[in-house]
Amino acid sequence: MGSYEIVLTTDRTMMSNHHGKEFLGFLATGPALNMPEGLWLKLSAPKPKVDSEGKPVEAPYGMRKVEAKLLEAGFKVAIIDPDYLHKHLDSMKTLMFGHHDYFAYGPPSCEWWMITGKEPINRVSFRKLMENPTVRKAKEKGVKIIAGGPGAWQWLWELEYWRKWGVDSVIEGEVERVLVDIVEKALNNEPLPDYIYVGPQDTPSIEEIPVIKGASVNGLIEIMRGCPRGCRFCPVTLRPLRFIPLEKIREEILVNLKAGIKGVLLHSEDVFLYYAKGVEPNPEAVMKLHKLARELVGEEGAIGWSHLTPSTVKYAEEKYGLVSKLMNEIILTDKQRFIGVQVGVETGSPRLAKLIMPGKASPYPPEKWPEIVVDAFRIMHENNIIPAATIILGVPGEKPEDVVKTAELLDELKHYRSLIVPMFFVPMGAMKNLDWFRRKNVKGEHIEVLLKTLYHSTFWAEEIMDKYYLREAKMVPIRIMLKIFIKYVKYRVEKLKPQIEELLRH
Amino acid sequence: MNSLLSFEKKAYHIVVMDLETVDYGKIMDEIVNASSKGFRKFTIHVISKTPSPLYLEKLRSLIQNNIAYTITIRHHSYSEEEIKGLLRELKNIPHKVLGK
Repeated sequence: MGSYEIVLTTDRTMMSNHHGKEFLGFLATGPALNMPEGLWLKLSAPKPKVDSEGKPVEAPYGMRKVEAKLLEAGFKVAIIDPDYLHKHLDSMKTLMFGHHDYFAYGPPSCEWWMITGKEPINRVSFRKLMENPTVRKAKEKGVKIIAGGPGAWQWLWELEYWRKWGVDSVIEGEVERVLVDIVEKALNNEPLPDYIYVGPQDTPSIEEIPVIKGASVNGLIEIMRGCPRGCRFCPVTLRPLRFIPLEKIREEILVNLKAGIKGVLLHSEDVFLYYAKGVEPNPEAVMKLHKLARELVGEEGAIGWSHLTPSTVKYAEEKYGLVSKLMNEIILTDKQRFIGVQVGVETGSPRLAKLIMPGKASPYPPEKWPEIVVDAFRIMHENNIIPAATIILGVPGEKPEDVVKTAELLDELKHYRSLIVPMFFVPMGAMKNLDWFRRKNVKGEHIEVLLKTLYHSTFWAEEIMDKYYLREAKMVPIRIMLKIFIKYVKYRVEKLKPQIEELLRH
Repeated sequence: MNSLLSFEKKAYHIVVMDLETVDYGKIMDEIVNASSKGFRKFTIHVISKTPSPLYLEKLRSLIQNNIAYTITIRHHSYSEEEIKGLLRELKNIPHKVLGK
């Protein structure tokens, strides 16, 4: 048994490989609907494989980076599954938590919460973890508790929990440059700042970002940090743009393969902007990256993407034929029949696009945003790329006519295989000082968009499951459960339709 | 101050005496003033009767409004001895005291 002075952990909704399907993880951002909480958790976030010490084979990527940085600095550190924390109570001196969405204030959790009036599972699960006897005992014996990760900002709205659970420090931002210093102070039992915000000038250079030492969930690895587009609602864009060199990418893929992970999920705000000059894609760099990925994972392994931007999809295909070339020459194989990716559509209104994301359409003008989105969806549809697109409702400055434009765009997208998820505005990025979108602000136009996305996504979800997704024999039960869930949602909406129509009339 | 993090030693320090009586706008003004002199890191020492971390409610807007600087926030108890000790330790570090 290793003697770990620093233990990194998180709750079950994060410490899971989501059955090897990232997208299923999104179910944990909602409340358990029409089924017991335990079953919902099994569906969205099953327990991962762990060793005898409770170290998971796969762990969230951000936590792997923290672990790697601390290992390189010589600390005794391990990521431990939340069910095995008790095994490390004696050696533990610092307990560190990471999370995307500690209290379900991020998108889309807060939206499901607002719509259903029920606490999302991720919030419930994290609260249970913090109140579990081992964490309480650790605190009683003087273990320092530090919380970080992309959801760190949410602690500022949960000061009572912060006090009750005895969190010593909350860190927001990229931590590689400051981490070792903080942990040394914690281990020496010196007072820590209550809150640390790591600004852009303290973000780590490429050299300071370590290579992960253990496998990441579903083989996710980052290929770049930051984003040049400058969307005002997004925190990523506040940080300097850095590209991870191929050699480091190779090393991380090999770490994952060695642990038995079969594929790679390339993480970037826009995969096609790897080594781009501004927003002008670099086809050679993108091809090299994918050739490397395929060479390493082989024909049996899957290549995944985290995010793409519609304008890059359109531009890359129309100027270089890059999308079809990538798909036909590298990504699609006998085993891999599609690729899923998250795509930010955000609005159908050119006026709003100009206001909140003037660079997102670039190199095209923001006035052409709806046209760009339609073209990109067509290109993706033709190339077996399945976007899970997001739309933001309730952005400060939004007018009813902007929402109508979004509804019109949804009509144009209905022929293209995709999932479209509406999200309510959450103050983040350069807009983090603005107000939240609240239930009382929901107007008829919003309801219309919500319904259109629901019809769109349930229609295509069934088609996607029939032809592409969850096709493996072991996934049959999950597929059946999801299909039942979709039918239930459709049934409920149909039942509520007269009331919704009445609401829309007024 | 030995207990400061390395990057805090290069920061501009703002000591807020009795947070309950200080408008957060004054802290923001001080940050802007110091940034015009080239500072990009700030440590805010808060002396407040409101215990940690509940006092952060008063600083939430400041934190949320900042995207440009590295900021750390520390709480100190409301005792004369601790305040004197803090000021003594900041003697050779650029700082400003706000509030009474």
